[in-house]
Amino acid sequence: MDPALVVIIVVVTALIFDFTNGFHDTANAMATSIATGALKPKTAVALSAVLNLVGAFLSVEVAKTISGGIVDDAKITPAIIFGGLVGAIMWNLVTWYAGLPSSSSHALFGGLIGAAWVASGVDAIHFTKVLDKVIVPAVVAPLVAGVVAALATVVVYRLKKATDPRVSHTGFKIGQVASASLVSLAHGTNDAQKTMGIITLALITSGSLAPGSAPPTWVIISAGAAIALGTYLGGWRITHTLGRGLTTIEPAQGFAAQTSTAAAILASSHLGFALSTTHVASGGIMGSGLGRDRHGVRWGTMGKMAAGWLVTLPAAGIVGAIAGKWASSGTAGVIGVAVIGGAIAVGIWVLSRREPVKPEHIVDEVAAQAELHKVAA
Amino acid sequence: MKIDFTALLTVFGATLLVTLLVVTLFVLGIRALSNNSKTAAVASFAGCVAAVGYGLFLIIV
Repeated sequence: MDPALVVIIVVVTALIFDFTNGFHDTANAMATSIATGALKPKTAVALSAVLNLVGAFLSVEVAKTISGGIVDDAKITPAIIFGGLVGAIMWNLVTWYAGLPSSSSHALFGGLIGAAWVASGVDAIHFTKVLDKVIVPAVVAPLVAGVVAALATVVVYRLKKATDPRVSHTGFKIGQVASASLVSLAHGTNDAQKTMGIITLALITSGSLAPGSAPPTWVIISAGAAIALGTYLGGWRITHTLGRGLTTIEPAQGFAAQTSTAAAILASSHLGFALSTTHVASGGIMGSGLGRDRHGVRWGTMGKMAAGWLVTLPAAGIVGAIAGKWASSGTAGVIGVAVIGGAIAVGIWVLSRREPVKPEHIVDEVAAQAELHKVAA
Repeated sequence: MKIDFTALLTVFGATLLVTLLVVTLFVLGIRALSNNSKTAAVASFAGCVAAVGYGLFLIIV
């Protein structure tokens, strides 16, 4: 198959992935602000979409990590990238339908690594870079956000004792909107970058760009637009999230958690660490719960979620490996992967329509985290 | 096998410093508002905006 055609298929698939990423993550940033009545749902979602778009332009360090680091661009082809991408999307859809906690970012890395490994051999993977830029930050960033959020919550609750409750209530609602906006911005600097990185990598492997190139402007704009559109259209999920007890987070706590989440993601993006923003947000909310009440955390539930996070990378890797191997075998392989991938996607969509949205279909790890902290008011 | 511990420490240090600074200034601002001291409140909130702005400036430039 003409490499240029495969690149076009990769670009379209990557933008669809980006759209679903935005669709899935809206609630992470804005749900608590809507729950406390600080923002109207439509305003919140539109604000989040715009800030995601702006964030996409702020930094391209994470895109460079993906396009010029974790795999050897001389050893892979656009078809392999396509296989990895389809593997990641399949894994996301299945976990979404089954209600398993998962990270779309880790699914993407897993799929890409699995596909490159099986189709081009172990030399095609730069494991040092994967460890340094993906695996270690995956563990460290949520911990950092958690520890800092705990300290920030303690500080906020200490200092707010001497305030007029009416003033502080309004004040923290505004603070919450501001910090939620920063989380949306941070989301654009990390998650939109992953799609840019994949598209840039496809362009490099097809010879359209020189190795080590930064993402071209059209790639930045289209990836930013796709995630912003997904964010905007994903807003309906927020109503469902609200039905699940997210209101247990007070504005002051949400403010502390979101400020540390945004700071941790922005600092990581700047250094090119490709994170799961959902994991960091969960870490922030966990930490702030701990800061409010030391006994408020259910460690067992947290352990289960952490286990779910660990499985994503290797599991998406296996699916990506199968799809990548097949897609790299030639035109028939690419078409086969596309057809089967499309069929599974349509199948899951039909299944999900047949039984209308159930709580377990709405995988919202951040909301789940909030459930852990039903701290006595 | 090389892990860049300096980068990890930078993330931790930057997150800790910026978050505690912004959060403390913000609560101090709300305290000042509660006590009707407008100037102190404006100064605190301006400090928050400046801290966030500087952080974003470091990322963009």
